[in-house]
Amino acid sequence: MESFLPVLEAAFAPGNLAWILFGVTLGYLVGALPGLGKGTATAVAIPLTFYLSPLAAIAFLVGIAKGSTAGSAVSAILLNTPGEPSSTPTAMAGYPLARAGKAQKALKMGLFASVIGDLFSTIVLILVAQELAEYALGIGPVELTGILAFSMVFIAGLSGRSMIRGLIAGLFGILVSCVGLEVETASPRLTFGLIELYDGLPLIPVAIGMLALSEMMIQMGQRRRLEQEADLLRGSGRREDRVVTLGDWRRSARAILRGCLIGTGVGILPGLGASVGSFLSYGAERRASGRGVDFEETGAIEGVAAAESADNAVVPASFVPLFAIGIPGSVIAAILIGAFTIQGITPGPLLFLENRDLILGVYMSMMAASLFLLLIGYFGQNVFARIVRISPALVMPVVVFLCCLGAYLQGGGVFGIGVMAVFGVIGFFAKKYDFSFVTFLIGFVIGPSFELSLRQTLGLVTEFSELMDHPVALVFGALAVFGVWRLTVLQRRQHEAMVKDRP
Amino acid sequence: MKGLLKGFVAALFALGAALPAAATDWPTGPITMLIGYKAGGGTDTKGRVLAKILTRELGQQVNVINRAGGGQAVALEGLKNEAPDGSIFLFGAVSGITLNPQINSDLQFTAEDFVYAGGLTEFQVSMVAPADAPFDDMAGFVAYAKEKGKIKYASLSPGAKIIMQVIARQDGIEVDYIPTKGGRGMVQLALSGQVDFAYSGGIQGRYPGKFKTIAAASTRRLGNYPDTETLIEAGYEGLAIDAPTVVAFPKGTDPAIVAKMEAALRVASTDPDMIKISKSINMPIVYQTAAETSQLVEDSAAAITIMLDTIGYKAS
Repeated sequence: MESFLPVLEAAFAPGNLAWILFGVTLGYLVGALPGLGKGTATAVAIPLTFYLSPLAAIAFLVGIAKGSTAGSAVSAILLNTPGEPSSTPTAMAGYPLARAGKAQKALKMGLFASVIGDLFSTIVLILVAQELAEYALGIGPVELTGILAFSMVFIAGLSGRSMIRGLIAGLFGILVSCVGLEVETASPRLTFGLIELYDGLPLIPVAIGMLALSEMMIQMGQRRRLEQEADLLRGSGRREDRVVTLGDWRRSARAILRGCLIGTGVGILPGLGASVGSFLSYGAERRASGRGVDFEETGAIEGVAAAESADNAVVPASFVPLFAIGIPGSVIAAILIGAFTIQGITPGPLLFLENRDLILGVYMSMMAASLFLLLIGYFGQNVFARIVRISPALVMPVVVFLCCLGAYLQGGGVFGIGVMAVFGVIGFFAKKYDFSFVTFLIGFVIGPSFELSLRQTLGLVTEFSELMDHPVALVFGALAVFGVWRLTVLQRRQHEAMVKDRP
Repeated sequence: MKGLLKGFVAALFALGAALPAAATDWPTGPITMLIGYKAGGGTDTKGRVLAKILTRELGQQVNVINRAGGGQAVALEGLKNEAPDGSIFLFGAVSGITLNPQINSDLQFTAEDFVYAGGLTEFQVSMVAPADAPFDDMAGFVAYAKEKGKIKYASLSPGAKIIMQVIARQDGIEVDYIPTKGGRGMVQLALSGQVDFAYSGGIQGRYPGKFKTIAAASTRRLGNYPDTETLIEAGYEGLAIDAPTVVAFPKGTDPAIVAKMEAALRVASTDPDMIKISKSINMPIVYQTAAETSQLVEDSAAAITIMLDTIGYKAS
């Protein structure tokens, strides 16, 4: 215990705190820009850390990661353009709220849920990193296949009014995710000779096109009506639309708790990613609320809370396998490996023996980052929230410009803008004809991991009897099958009820 | 008349090439360093340190641009079409230049589309097994594989698969190939005991005590593992895919520019920052001159052609 004081001193030294604050602020700003997410923010900052002490460097990067994860909710709610795919559900439930004049409420709930999810997950990391790591290593490709299959079925339950249309959209997403070099022999698939497509369609331009650009196209068609609505938005100064009321907390508490658990669980398992966490949590809340498509039509504060708490809980939890066994559970964790090794530190079991003080210092810094996040987010939002008071005629061109910027940066230049434009048009028709763009994106995001883990499974499990060694995979596989059956039955019942109601 | 003119122009060019590399005032403006991978990886980290040193040595800003995709293919395809005026070069592993165009007929570039200013470091390309594997060298591995009947092999790239296919063919081993995404995917499979054998670009150095390095997949022994035999020494003739990291310019770049870069790279190879970063990412500095690098690229590309013929590989 005596050795704990110097650690505290190092973690809360003014210099170290300043770097954390700088990291959180920078991350929050970058995250709030459409298309720029935590991956970009952290990767670009790594060279900056070359001359910092290990603790300051890692604290700075963790600050950026936390800040940008929470910040991406801002553009999701205000502009319907998620900073990264994992904020997509936030945009779906939060943007309608902004349109109804409740932007500040949604932003605040998003922030509070983010901080709670982040703090919860950080505490889990601190308490159980060493113990949990051993179990995480046991989750191999076979288990992942089961879990991913289950996640896909579960999320398909989100698919709007018609399950058939949802499935079509989801399968189209998987098809689109097949574009690029095949993983084992690097044969090009569906690339049509375009070298730019070798690494697949870039995720961010596709997501921005489907969500934001198509939304802008639809809004441009309704500009006159929106101008009138904007006046209403401006007029809505009612206090209950600006703050998170006790009622909101009551509605969202369950969603936040579930989001914390789902996000932490997803973070600990290597290879699932933040998008799975936020979509799973959002889907669970949408299901539990029993409101169905109304969730996206009128917006839902508990939907924002569910998505954001899970999204932010993934980040610290994904450090569990990183710190304990040296395997990254997320993009951020993978980038942090680079930062650790620059400092001459090898993440893994030895970390707790050889660099115990550093790890404790990092833990303290992470807690400090959670608090900074609350401060920066709370005061930063007042600035951002002014966006909704500007006339759509001014906002739309700016949003389209920011969309292009994000697509350019994340999609390999002008090519990314082209991809975004194509998916903008696809998204426009998908929205007009009620094909769920949510299931499309899920198929697109999960497709590659599912393919890889399925193919690995086929190599690893060559006899049927070997499957018995993977009980976790069997349970999730059974749940997936059960889910399909249950969804089909539900849909049929709804259909019959509709037919009966008809005169 | 046209033929005469052509001959004249050709003669002029030949004369130009024969002249000793003249002094050059290059660089007169900022230079772009292309990295064929996303920001944050080993090559990128190293490239950014190199860019800093080059900025100091050349007296002009060297900017890093990441153009990721297809194992450097996107960056190389771009570099090929750039003006050969010294304003842009690529820093990356040579296997993207020697191997990829041979296994993928969509790619337009070949190793001859670039000129090489030198090599700086070397990926520790090797065959590895989990630390508790009951063998220590290739002979032991083959005996183990035969006894077991069929082994599971983590294959992180087409090159990794080709190497194992050659071994399997020569020794009559049965192999289940498990594709993985990058080195970290391989580490996860190996550490959890799900595969028996794997190819590694050197990532095992980051996991001390967790891996055995069974053989080097390069022409010469590796800097980090001087006691480990190469596959060639173990009896697999010509089986090597060398992966030094080199600096490549588009073909036609003034030899004086290439020479100036070569000198700057030599300075970089002894720079304290470069030494520090090489240690921490486990990629030893192996400085090579422009001439040595060009020869290595040529030899390596030829060796890969033979290897692909052996297993009857068809470019897709």
